[in-house]
Amino acid sequence: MAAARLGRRLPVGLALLGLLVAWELVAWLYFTASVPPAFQAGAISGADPSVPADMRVVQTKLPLPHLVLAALVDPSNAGQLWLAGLITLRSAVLGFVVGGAIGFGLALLMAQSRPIERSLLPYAIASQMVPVIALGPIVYSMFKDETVARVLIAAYVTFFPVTINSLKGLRSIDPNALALMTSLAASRAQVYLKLRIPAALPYVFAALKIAATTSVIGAIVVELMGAQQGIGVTILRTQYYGPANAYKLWGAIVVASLLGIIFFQAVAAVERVVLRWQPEFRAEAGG
Amino acid sequence: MANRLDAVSDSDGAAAAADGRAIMLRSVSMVFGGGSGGVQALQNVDLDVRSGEFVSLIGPSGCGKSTLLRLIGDLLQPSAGTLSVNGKTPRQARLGREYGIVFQQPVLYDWRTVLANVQLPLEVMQVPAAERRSRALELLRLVGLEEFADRYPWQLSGGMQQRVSIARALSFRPAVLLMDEPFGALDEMTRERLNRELLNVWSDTHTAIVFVTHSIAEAVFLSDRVVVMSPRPGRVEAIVSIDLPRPRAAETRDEPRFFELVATVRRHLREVDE
Repeated sequence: MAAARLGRRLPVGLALLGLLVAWELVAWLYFTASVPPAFQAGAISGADPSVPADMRVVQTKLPLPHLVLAALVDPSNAGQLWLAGLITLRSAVLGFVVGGAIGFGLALLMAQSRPIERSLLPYAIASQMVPVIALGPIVYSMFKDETVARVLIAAYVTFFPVTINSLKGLRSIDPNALALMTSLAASRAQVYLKLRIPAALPYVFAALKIAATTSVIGAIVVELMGAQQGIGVTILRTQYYGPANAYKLWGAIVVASLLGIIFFQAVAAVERVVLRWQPEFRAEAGG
Repeated sequence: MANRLDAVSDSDGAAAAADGRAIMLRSVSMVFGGGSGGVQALQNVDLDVRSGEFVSLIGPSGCGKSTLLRLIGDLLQPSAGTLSVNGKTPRQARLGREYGIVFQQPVLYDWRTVLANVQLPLEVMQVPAAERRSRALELLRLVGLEEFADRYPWQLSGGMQQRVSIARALSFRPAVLLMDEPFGALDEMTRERLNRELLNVWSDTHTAIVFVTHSIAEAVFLSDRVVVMSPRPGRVEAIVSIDLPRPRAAETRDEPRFFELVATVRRHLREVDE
């Protein structure tokens, strides 16, 4: 089992390593071609005023991966970076839960009748036409609280895919599976609890995996428009502070994408447990 | 479309129940779609099934045998005619949970274990958990799948899945078992074995069975009576009484009388096809 897992993960690790090595090589070639040896140390630190400006910004264009990794673990920088990431992730997760619940609730409501669906769905679609970047300041001015704004925007981008997919799932039921429930004179609530909702879960999880990444982006967008804390704030600040902070910026971007990946993987892990009966997960369930 | 099921008078229904007729159909017709474009699926079907009787419906595709099954089970409403089940309308019978249904596909819920699938009807009927479990295990024993109780349906072969489906249909002791080509998707050997198992289970339960099939041998082997239907519109063309002694076994299929009855049913089917 452990060997099999290693066998699956080894190619992934090798591919990542290969990518980083290739990147390092290209970045190094670009760097040495653009910056004469005398200026190289100063160009990397970004702080030496004797280095010409155009050479100092070389590192903001194509960073050296090993220096980005160093920024991620540098004690003077890393603590703040990861804390900012956690603050953003907390809001994203909270918004994801709220948005997921609202989205699924809306789908349950719309599944009850076509007229309800026809009256509600246009508003759900219209809501997604409003750019988050325009909505963020409005939500912030309404609540004057960056955490509330982050959670609401994360919920806002989460609910829509969950509604659409859940509705599809609740309606895509094998007619004979429904006929079985009818023949047993099952109540509407029983049909939902014992058939429609379990059968819809694969659709729900497909939406939740999309929402896991977009909810993080929603939270970051709110931060970019003016917050005190969070990885979005770090990205913004390190951009303003110039080439000296190039590696902090890249580090913040890496943390931001890691948040999305971690959240996605967490949702995927829950999916594997909840949907162990699904064809794609059956091999692991065994028997 | 008028629902004429209510036209079954109480006295008529009570009489049917008293004289042992579980299912009674009178001039039942079924048209799908309205207006001139409607398709007549069944025309003036009269049929009685006694309680505890095994009746097969056989006929070419499009003869409305599955439709007939669904009319009895109250999954469809007839365009005309009356049906009664144990003296009640099909709707009353369905609400009284008198139907067990087995489809051509097992229609098991993949997220439930075998045991939980068999328990499903009992859960819907809010039977206490302990009783649900013992009842489901008893049924699984009956179909020989007790040791697979904790498996998932997709870990079982097609034939085993269909046995689970039968156990589920019988779990709440329904008065009527409706089977819509339940063994149609299985290979010949599995099919014959499940035919024998079904008879064993049936002899323990005293359920009336209406069984839709394409297989003449299967219909003759299983049934008390075989109803031959004609297509477009579906009608009852002939009813063949099967006088093979019970209990029937694998050897029953080798008896001369078995072959005669198969030939009789086949002759009727050929007439229907012309």
